[in-house]
Amino acid sequence: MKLARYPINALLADYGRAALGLAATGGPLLFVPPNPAMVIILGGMAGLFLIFGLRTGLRQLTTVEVSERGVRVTGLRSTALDWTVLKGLRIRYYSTRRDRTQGWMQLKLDGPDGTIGFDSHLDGFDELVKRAAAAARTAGLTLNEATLDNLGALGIERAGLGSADEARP
Amino acid sequence: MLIYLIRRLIIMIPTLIAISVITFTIIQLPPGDYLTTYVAELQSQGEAVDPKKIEFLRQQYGLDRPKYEQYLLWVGGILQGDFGYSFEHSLPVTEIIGDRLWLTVLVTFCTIVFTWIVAFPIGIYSATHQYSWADYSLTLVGFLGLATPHFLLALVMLYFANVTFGTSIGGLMDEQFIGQSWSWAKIKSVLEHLWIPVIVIGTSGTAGMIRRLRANLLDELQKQYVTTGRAKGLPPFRLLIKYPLRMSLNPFISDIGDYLPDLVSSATIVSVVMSLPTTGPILLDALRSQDMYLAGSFLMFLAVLTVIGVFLSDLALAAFDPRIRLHGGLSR
Repeated sequence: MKLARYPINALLADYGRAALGLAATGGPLLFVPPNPAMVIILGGMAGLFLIFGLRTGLRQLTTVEVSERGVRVTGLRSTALDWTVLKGLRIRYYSTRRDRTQGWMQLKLDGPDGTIGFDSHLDGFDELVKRAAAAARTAGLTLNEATLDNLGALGIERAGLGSADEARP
Repeated sequence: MLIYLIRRLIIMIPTLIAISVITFTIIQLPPGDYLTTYVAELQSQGEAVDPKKIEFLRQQYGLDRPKYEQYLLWVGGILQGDFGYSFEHSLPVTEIIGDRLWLTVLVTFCTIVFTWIVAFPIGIYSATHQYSWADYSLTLVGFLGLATPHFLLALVMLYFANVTFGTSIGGLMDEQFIGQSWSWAKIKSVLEHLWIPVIVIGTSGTAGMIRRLRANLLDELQKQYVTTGRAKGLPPFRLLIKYPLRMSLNPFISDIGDYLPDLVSSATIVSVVMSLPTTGPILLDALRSQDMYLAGSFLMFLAVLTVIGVFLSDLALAAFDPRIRLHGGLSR
């Protein structure tokens, strides 16, 4: 069994983003009497940054246990998933750069009780993906092309993982 | 996706602040201000200028204040929906733009729809029938479209529409509807005039899109996954639509960022030639006459639309194609 957490450096960066965003969007609402359209736009964005800040706080309290049996997330919202009941696996890659470098991945695991999400800032993300991919292979899950490409980029063989987009006559 | 959204929004904030500073600096760069230009114009016409009146106007419009104060007042006004006052038109900026903005959006939206409807079937046909006589003919038409100047095509189309259909020369409606409230007759008149600027402005974009779609699709059609799909017996049309066409659309999603500012500023020269009541000519006049708040508001509006457009296209790309590029890397 391995314990993983989100590293404090990544979390601090996210706290900084949330604070900067709140200041830049909420600040004008406090100091300048804006018109209704601006209240909706800036207020909506400030709400997003607030949610993001709270979400980062939740991540700081989160611990992920990866084992042969499954994955368990403990924190304010605890949840668990056994590999034997894995229903779906998706990996998406995001980057804010135009050349799409220096990005991060997001892993979504579907189980009977809902979906659990992780991103590649998590310590031991590669290990988690390897175990999830092995479980998907065992369960005979079909994955989409983007997920298979992203698995390939992480050095995980796509053999044995069916493609949901595979051409069928 | 939330993290991506937040990170993209964070990038937008300093970008917009920098753009507002640059825009304000640009509109302040020419020597003097609107009142200096106004005084010079009056003097060139031999009219007397009362220095006290000019000083009064300068104080009233805040032109005597330090630049940073003028900038803060301008940005603060924008946040309150007040885009400033046009010296040349002696009206608030929002009143000047008025109907023109909606007519500009209408013309540009119809042009984009026209471009996509015409370019997609032709681009797909050209790529799937490469080096056929139809491909050569459509390529020739595409090159003609790219090479024909807008203003020339505008003049030809105005003449053609007038001689063939009796459409009045220039404008987006018959003269009797200008300044009138909206009615079915006015809408009909707009529709009768609308197709001319749509074709004129859309022709080069259509030709360009045909060329790009053809090239992108040809690249994709030669890849191994298409051969595999064919070997597995996938019907040709389904194979084309589901795989190579989808992959070749990514550059067009990236182009969404360019469409939004076009909604406001597109085809200024065509608008001047065709006397269209759109925003392009007003922007041109505002820049020439140093009408700083009108020009500044336009430039800021265009910049904001560009940033929002790029943001939307990035979101769409992230949603449609969330794959890592092999030259990329993960940040930890």
